[in-house]
Amino acid sequence: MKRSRALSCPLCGGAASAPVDSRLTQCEYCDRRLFYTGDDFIPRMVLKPRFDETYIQSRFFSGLKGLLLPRGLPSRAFVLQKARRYVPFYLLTGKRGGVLDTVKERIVQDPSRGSGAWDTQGGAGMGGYYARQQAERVSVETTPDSRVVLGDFRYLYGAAVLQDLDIPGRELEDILERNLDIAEAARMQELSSSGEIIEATVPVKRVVQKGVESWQNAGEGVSVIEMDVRLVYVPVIEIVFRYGEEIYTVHIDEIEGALLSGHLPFRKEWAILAGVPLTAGLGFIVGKTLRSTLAFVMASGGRTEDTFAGIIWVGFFFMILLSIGLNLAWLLLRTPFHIKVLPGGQRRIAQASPVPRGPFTALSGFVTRALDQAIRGGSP
Amino acid sequence: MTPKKGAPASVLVPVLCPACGRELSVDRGDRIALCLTCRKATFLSRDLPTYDLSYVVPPSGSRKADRYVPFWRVEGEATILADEKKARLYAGIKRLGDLYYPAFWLPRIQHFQDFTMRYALLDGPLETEPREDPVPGGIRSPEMLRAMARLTWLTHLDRVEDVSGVDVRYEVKRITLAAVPFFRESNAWLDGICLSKLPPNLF
Repeated sequence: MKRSRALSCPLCGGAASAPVDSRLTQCEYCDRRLFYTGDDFIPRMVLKPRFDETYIQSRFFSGLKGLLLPRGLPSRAFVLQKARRYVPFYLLTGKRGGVLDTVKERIVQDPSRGSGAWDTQGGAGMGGYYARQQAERVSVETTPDSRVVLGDFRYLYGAAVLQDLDIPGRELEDILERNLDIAEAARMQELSSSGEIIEATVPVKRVVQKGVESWQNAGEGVSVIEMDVRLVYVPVIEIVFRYGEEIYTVHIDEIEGALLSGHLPFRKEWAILAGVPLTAGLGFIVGKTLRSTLAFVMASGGRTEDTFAGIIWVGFFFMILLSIGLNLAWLLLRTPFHIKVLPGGQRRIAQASPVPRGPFTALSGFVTRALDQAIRGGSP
Repeated sequence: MTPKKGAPASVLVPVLCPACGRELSVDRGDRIALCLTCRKATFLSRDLPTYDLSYVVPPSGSRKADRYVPFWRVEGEATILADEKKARLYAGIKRLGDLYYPAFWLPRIQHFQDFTMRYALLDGPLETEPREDPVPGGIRSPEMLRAMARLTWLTHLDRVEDVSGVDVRYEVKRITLAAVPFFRESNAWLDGICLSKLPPNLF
């Protein structure tokens, strides 16, 4: 548990306000400016939103157009809510250095080691002889070497778990990396008044340990000389809209204006269109089956037993096809598809929720049971 | 009311010049506070270490600097600890002058990495002058300077001969905060010592 401690002014002993977004604070009694020197303070920075509301709106509506999306979606989408979120990332910078022990490899020719024997095994003739002699005379000599490493490092780590928010952390991290130059000191009060600040839930200790370890793994002798930890917030706008009876959400980053993630309605016509070749295919198979049945009946020459058995089997086959066809059509029409927006502007058709139970499930169940009975010869 | 003797040092320190008692100028997010009256820089930590502040003189004939950027300047003596053979190899090496390390923080600080070696290899120490131009605050602690100076020297030696079994003992004689002039060009920043180009959106 985090322990809180009272801060008192070193000049008058009065109570001082706790530092929020800067180490600078003030004594509430003598009004003197004070500086917080504790190691637990993490400076906060922010990438300020670069686009105004009009641009974000146009970006949102342009994202509602596409082959897989319903026609007229931009005009029929009803925006319910727009909310800004500041997503936190840890920025670790500093100096690392040391003397890295390495080895220098040198290929040397050793005249004493060449055997000069003929290579008769491989049948390579004179070529084999020379190749073998060459390989035996050449060796790799290693000598200890070292390399002085001194330089800056910079790491970015997600400071909050974003899975529940459907915000792609990796993508956002890349945006932050590309735009670090415009990061500026954050005023938390301003940030909280303009959006929701997502709390940094990943412990800073773990992140620091990860950063240090990654450099120490680079080789023995290299260590972190200096490290600075900061929190940088990246603004993301969440737009919730209604289309028909469904609610959809889209996230747009406010630095590069990219559509980050979200869900969009799927154009139902595509499911119906997909059903056309499917129906045609099934019709073709059914037609062929009926034709074969007729030919079989005609060929049986009036033998009642064979004709009856044939009709039963074809009937089953027909029922199976029918149930498959109807179930597929049900799946295509009733599956709640939606379009998942992926980082980089890609879109993927995905199932939004489970398919409601259809009336044809009973039919396929009946067919399966009857078929099972027939195969087992009536035994349970 | 003054803190009692023996009481644990407070995590809060007053933003006052330890030399003259005047309020120090420090920006939000900075750790190095300047007193332009005393020409002193104070690193805001519990023991409030203070350093002299000086301004590096731009090349003669150049216009007024557009910006002064704070660097820690380390003056010291390096002793090379090596066997006789390597010591002979290092004997003729150009000795590094004062070492300048950026005292400020930038997300892309690596642009400044080369400056330390470039300034250190100049002939003679850089000339300084007393000025009162504003210097943006820095944040980097001077605590790491000795370790950095040792590694800078080792890097220098490594360019001549492998440093396996070699070490450098660096004795810091003086640390000061040096304000280095920078000039704004149409599409770049130029440092006022070597006139090296830096990206335009750096500061």
